[in-house]
Amino acid sequence: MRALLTVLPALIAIGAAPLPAIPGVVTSPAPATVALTVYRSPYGRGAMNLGYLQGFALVTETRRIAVPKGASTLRFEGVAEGIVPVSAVVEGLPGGVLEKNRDARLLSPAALVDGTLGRTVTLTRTDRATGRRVSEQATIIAGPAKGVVLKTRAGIETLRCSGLPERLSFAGVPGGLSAKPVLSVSTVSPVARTVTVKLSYLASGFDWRSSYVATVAPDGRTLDLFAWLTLANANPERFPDAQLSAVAGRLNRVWTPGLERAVAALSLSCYPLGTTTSDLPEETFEEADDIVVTGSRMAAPPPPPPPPAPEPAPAPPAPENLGDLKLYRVPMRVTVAPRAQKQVALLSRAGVPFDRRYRVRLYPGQPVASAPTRIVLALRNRRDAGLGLPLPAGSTAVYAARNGERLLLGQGALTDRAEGESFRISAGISTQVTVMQERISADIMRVVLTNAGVAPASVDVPIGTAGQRIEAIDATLPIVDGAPTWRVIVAPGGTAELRYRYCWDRCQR
Amino acid sequence: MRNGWMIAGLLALPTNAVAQVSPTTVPPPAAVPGAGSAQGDVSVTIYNGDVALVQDVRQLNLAAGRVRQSFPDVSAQIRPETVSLTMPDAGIVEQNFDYDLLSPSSLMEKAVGETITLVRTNPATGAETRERARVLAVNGGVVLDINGRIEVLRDDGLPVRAVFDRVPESLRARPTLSVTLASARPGSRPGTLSYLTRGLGWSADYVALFDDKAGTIDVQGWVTLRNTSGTTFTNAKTLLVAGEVGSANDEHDAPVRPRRPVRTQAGSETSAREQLGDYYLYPLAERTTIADKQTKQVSFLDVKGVAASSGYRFDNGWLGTADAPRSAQSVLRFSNRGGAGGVGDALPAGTVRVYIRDARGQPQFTGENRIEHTPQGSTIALPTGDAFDVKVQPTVVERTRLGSDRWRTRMRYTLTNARPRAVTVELVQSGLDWSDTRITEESRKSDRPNAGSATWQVPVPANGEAVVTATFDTRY
Repeated sequence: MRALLTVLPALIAIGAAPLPAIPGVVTSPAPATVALTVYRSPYGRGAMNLGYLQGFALVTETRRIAVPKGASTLRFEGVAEGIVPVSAVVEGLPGGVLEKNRDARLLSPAALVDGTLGRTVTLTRTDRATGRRVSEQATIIAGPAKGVVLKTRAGIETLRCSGLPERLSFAGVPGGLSAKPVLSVSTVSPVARTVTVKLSYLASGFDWRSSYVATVAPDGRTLDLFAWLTLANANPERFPDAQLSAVAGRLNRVWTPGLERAVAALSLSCYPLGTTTSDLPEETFEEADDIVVTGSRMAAPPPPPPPPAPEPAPAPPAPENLGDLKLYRVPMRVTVAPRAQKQVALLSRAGVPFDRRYRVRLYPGQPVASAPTRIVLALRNRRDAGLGLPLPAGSTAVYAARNGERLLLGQGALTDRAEGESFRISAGISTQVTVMQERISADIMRVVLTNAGVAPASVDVPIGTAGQRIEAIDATLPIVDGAPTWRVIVAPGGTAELRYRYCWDRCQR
Repeated sequence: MRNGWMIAGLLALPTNAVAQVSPTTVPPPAAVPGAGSAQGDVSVTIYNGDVALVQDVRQLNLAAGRVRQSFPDVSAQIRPETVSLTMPDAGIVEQNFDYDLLSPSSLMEKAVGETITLVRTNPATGAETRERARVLAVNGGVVLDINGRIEVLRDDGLPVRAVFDRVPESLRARPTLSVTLASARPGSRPGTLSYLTRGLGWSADYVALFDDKAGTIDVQGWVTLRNTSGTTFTNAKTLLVAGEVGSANDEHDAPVRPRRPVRTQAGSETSAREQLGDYYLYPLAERTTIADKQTKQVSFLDVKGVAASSGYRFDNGWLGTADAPRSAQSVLRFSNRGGAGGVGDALPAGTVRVYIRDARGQPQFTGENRIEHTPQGSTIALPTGDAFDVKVQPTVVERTRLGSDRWRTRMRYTLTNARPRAVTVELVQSGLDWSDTRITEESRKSDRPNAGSATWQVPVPANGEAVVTATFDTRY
């Protein structure tokens, strides 16, 4: 009876944690504390695809483990599914770590057959008419690939080829199979002691993005800049009360072979079972007419509205320098739910002055017939200009207020911007300020800007590529970021005109 | 424990079947993977390029004369052409690798011409009737000769069990190596089987904890074994060889150049490690079981306080120009010299993961890169990623054609540093590797480490910027 009592828990646990307690094996079911540092996908742009997160995370856990004296194996359960096992670091064991193992042999129907090959199982047939069950012992002599062959008292038989309901019962779970991939370490401890072990590892299936929301003040000269830090966890694990942080900047990654999940499907193929009638064409019926739905067809739904204006949140702490990266801490402990997305405030600045400009890039020789221009808000990331903090790459959305409502002006993207840099935020496309370009002679182009709006428009027109020789006629073009740029203010209802000569070789004078 | 398994077997049985089957005879399942394996004393030598040498010494009891000996539990990814068996008083006559696997289909196909037993079950009463039948053909369906009647198996769809008398000798549950031996004497003696296999590989993984203030790194090295061979090697003596033994098939696999390559200045010191030819050897201290589908890591290096520094590098391609500043690479530099300040060991190829402690002392990951086999005494410049605060904006200021094949190109590089301390950026203009490139004017003195590039070491003040200009006189 004593044996029964010790075994029952193991039986009940099959399915969740199939390994029965083996001497010298200590299982730590879950971490005591978790810290999660999420890294962005190095080249991710736009919104995150929650089904395919390209970023990753550093998970740092502490666990209380009673380590026995002598040799033992510690199994860490509840690690993230996306764990990169070779990155695991285990600290705090009195005897150090001899070996780290990651076993990916999972308990599955095929693994049961595979692990019981050559051993005895119970084959049970149920009579469809009477419900009577007949069991007998059988030995698996082939499987799981290409079907299962059994040796019974009657002779050699194949599983599920006879048309009778047949099932196999196994005496137990073969060793070394687990419900989920498990990280384990082996250690030799000089003493038996309960210790706090720190386990850290990289895990895939995480990502984060920053989303900037700029709200233009009614005066049109300043804006309030707010940013969300949106992070997502595609792992099925939950990280309760985690110390959460996010790292901005691009890290070099090395492709690491993923975990090969050793789950082969159990395929019960039989010998050919064609009959004298199996080649007859099956009768087919015409499909019923499509069900006609009266009413109007729905148009494609409009894109969901961007997140509404946040309540003025307390300014989050500035990031700390982590080498050449930036580390953002979420000030309170939060729970990261499995397969979920979470948003916290990243930064918040009010009254940031900006310069509203129109922008269009032209190439010499390219005919342009009345094209719209892009509206951009030019900002300087400096303390004296209301900012002066690292701005991690992300998406931008610009809003303006109209009679107490909010209007979306434009959406765009921002790359990593360090303190001191200048940058532009897209604020939509203007069909009020338009540009036209035409050829006048072999090497002279004419550009005309038209402003149909009610306010003067400051327009930047970079021309050509960096280093290309562009010479304006009766004007000088400053070089901005390598490209000659025509900077002009077009009066309301007015036009401005530029003629320039271009050449790649020596210009003909 | 054994008791426990018996009871588990008992409970798993349906209650009305207990009377018919005695569960106490059910043997326990394998407690550990590989238990019950036919392997003998196994030693495994693993190389880097998906090749491993397995030596397996098994006690074989042979009769005298010609004997056929099969070797189950060899690697499922064995390369059979590399098998050799050495055994006292026995010579090899022939060697076979059989992969005609036992399955319902192959069993029926091999039964053509043989007689099998059909067990029919009456669907209404459950009554069984047996008859013998000869298998005539297995082509899309099974054609049987039952006492002169020709029928198709399960033509009416009713349940019919086909019971075979025996398993044909040529069919195997697993691919099996078998050897025919000419044995000079009967008796038990050891036979050494050795073969090459795929599916076993290893690489190194390094954890480097960088302390920027002290200018040091702590380096831990782990060898990582991966077994995808489909076979568990039980209690194996394991030796890892750092080196690629190559293969005739490798010629066309040109490695893809990483975006941020590690630059290594090769060293000339000899490591204290055991060597075999030009390869370093890493024996595992204890025998270990390498389970199928397992990743196993064993420590081989643990050094503290190695001198290290961080720096920046920006490599601009020819005519590279940018609208906005671009991040410079963050580079970690260290050496594996012997003595103080170096790692003091040859480093097998693998991935170096770099960690830095955050303000609360917690190590945080800051990037990784791959090193190749690195002899002792080398200096290593390991790019870990891009710097957020240190950027370079390269600009082509002017391109002027001087003649039919002469161009003058003026370049300006604006280096910015948003960090609160001064940094030095290694600025590289590459792509100069045609024969007659000249730098006619430059605002700082450049180095020309090779024909293809010019390098400037540019100090950039804290929260400041620096500008380098240069004029190139080139053919293109």
